[in-house]
Amino acid sequence: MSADIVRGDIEAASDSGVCDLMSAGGGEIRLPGQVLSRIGVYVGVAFCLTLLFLLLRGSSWQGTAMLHTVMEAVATLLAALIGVLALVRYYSRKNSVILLIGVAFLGTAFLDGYHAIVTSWYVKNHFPSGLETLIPWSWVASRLYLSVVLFLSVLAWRRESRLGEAGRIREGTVYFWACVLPAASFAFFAFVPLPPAYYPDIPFHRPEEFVPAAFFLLALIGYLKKGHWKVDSFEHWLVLSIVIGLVGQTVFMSFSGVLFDMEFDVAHLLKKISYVAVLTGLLISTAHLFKREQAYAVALQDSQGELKRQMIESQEARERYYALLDLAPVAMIAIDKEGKIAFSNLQAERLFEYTRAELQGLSVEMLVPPHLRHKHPQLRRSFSAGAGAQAMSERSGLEGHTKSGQSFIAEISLAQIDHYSGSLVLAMILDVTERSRTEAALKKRAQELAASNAELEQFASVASHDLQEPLRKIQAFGDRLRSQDSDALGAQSLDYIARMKNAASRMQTLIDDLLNFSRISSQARPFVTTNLNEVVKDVVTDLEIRIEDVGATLEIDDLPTIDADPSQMRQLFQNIIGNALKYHREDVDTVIEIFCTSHKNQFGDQGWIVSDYTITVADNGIGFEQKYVDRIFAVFQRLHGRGKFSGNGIGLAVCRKIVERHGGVISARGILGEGSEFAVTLPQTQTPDNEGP
Amino acid sequence: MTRPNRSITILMADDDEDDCRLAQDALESSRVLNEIRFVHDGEELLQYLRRQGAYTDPASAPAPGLVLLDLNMPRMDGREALAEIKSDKDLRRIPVVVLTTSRAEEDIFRSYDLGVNSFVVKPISFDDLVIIFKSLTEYWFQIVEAPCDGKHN
Repeated sequence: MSADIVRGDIEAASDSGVCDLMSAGGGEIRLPGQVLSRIGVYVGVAFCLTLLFLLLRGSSWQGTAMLHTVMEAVATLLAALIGVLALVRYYSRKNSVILLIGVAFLGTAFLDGYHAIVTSWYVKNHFPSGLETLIPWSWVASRLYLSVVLFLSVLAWRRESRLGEAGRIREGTVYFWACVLPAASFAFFAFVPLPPAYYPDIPFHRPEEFVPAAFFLLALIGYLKKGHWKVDSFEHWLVLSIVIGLVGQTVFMSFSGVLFDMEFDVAHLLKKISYVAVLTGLLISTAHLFKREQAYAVALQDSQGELKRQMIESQEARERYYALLDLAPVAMIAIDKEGKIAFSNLQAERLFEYTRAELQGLSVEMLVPPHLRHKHPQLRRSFSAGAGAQAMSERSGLEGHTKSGQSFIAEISLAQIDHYSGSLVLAMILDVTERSRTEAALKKRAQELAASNAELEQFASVASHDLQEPLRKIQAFGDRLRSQDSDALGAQSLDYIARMKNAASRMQTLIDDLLNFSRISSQARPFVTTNLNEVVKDVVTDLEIRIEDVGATLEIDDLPTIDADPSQMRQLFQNIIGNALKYHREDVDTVIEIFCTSHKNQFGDQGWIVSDYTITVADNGIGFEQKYVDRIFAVFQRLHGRGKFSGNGIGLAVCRKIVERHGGVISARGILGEGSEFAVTLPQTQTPDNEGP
Repeated sequence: MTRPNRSITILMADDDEDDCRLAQDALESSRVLNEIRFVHDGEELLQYLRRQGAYTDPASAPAPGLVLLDLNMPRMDGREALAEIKSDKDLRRIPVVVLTTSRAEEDIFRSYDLGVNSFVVKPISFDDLVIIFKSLTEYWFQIVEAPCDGKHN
């Protein structure tokens, strides 16, 4: 199909079979080979007919008026048949080309019939002209009429393809001229004496035949340019018919020397053949039409089946959807713009104690406690208005109201959903009465616990303060007694005073220790990034004198940087390393090792990452029996008599409390007489949650 | 260094009679000639400084050159009294030294934030108390140029 065919062409062509090209199931897609073979047919037919003319030239054939009348009668019938068929086609789908062709053949049928009649011997005496002029001229009239209307049909197509629907020629106009022209020629022949038809002096004895031939040529050029013959069966046969008609006019009839000679009769025969060609085209394209209609019907049936299947599927999907809604553990209610319930699920029936039928169409305000009802419509509207911004909003601390008048605490999530009846708001409602109660109870417990903890801390701190006062006085007045009245006191009294003061001093230390212990959490400082290498370095510097006294060797690994309270870290290592120094063995060189291992317990973006470190302080001191391991971390618990080692037994308790505050673990391993090992595991990072007092 | 300081009065605010007694003893033992006066809570202290109530007579309640302030006292404690003194434009120049048993960090920070001039923890032994009194009087009455000299008197 040529590229310049516009919408109108397709419409026009679809009538006669071009649609085959478009419909996928048509199976009539023409290949370029077909185009070539069709051109071959046109050229071949024209060539063969010309050859036939050359072969038969000079033949002495002489037909009769009778044969002519019979042939013209057949032509009349054929033309009439074509005209009727074409008009039937026209009325099934209107386009100007087929209308004009129908009219062309009907008119031709009229003229052919007239031609057959006037040339019969019955009527020849009633006309002013003789048969030798009447027969050729009435033939020419029929041929001229057909060729002109065919040419006009090309023009009509061009007009229609240019202007579309508006370019369609009015039926009335066509029929009017189709009646007027044959009638005029009829009248012309009946009343006007005709000029001679044969001119023996010129090579073409019937030059008038070239006039319809010229119109046939124009129509042929027009239809070839139109291009539909490439794909359309009807137009292919129409073109073939014009080719035959043209050859009949130019090659045969123009050379006819006398009535009923060979050229005359062959031309008449070719006319019939050209009619048959058009008829064939019409029948073939009609057959295609039927075939296509059948394909349409099948496709329609298929699509109906598909539609039915889809309907069943969507029905099933809908049922599944509602079944799923019923399985949901939350109550769901879809509300339309007016606040009416569009649909609900099983849980909603249970929660609100209404049946589904009762809920359907119920105003959602009925599910809100009466004292809140007046505010609800506005809340609804504000959600709808802001729906674009918030796809889903969740609200808690709301109240629901059941049919029996019970109120419950609800958590409600709202979402905008699309529904065939318009946009709905889907509310998902959860009865959280029980949960709220539990939460409130838990919160209260936590508050009580925090209060009692704080009280305890405060108690320890205040008690320590107030306990210190009298002790200080005991010591101060003891001092006064000893320095002012030492002369009056005996040596024993002075010893008693010294013991009293000693006891007071020990109590003082105990209280200080207890105060420090309670301050680990009450005076805690925030966690910051802390380099443990620096912490341990500072501790070692502080302990330098004792390290020298003991003659200890310290082997310290590279230590990590973690989130911690630096002053507490310092206290921690001071206590542990201090213990290692204190509990050394006299008979060996003291060696204290500090080393670190990391643990990848956390899965991050890059795989497992280090989350914890264990820092171990190992010594070769006096060690301890493993069964006492729990005791060494308890407050004021000691494994040795006071006489042997100083201290109150608070150091490791402080260590444990510091480590626990950092979310870590401290453990100890000891072998009596061989050494001990203290392992502190601390997290790499602290979350704000850990940072409690 | 040899300025006469006899006339300069030390005012000690402490509810503990024992501590007052020890302070008096320590002052004597340190051979310091300054007079020491006692009030027993924050309100009395402010009344004294503002010459109100029982303290209207300058003869019996001479203006102090140094205030020793205990933090834990009844009625109005030392923290409140300190805040009051340091926000009063007539009183804020008087040197105030906190003398307390508390060594809590927050007390130390808060006192300095309020504008205390020194923070001293009460020592355990009497001998240490004597040394403290000796140092304080020497520092405040001989080394330092105090703002209230001559002005307040």
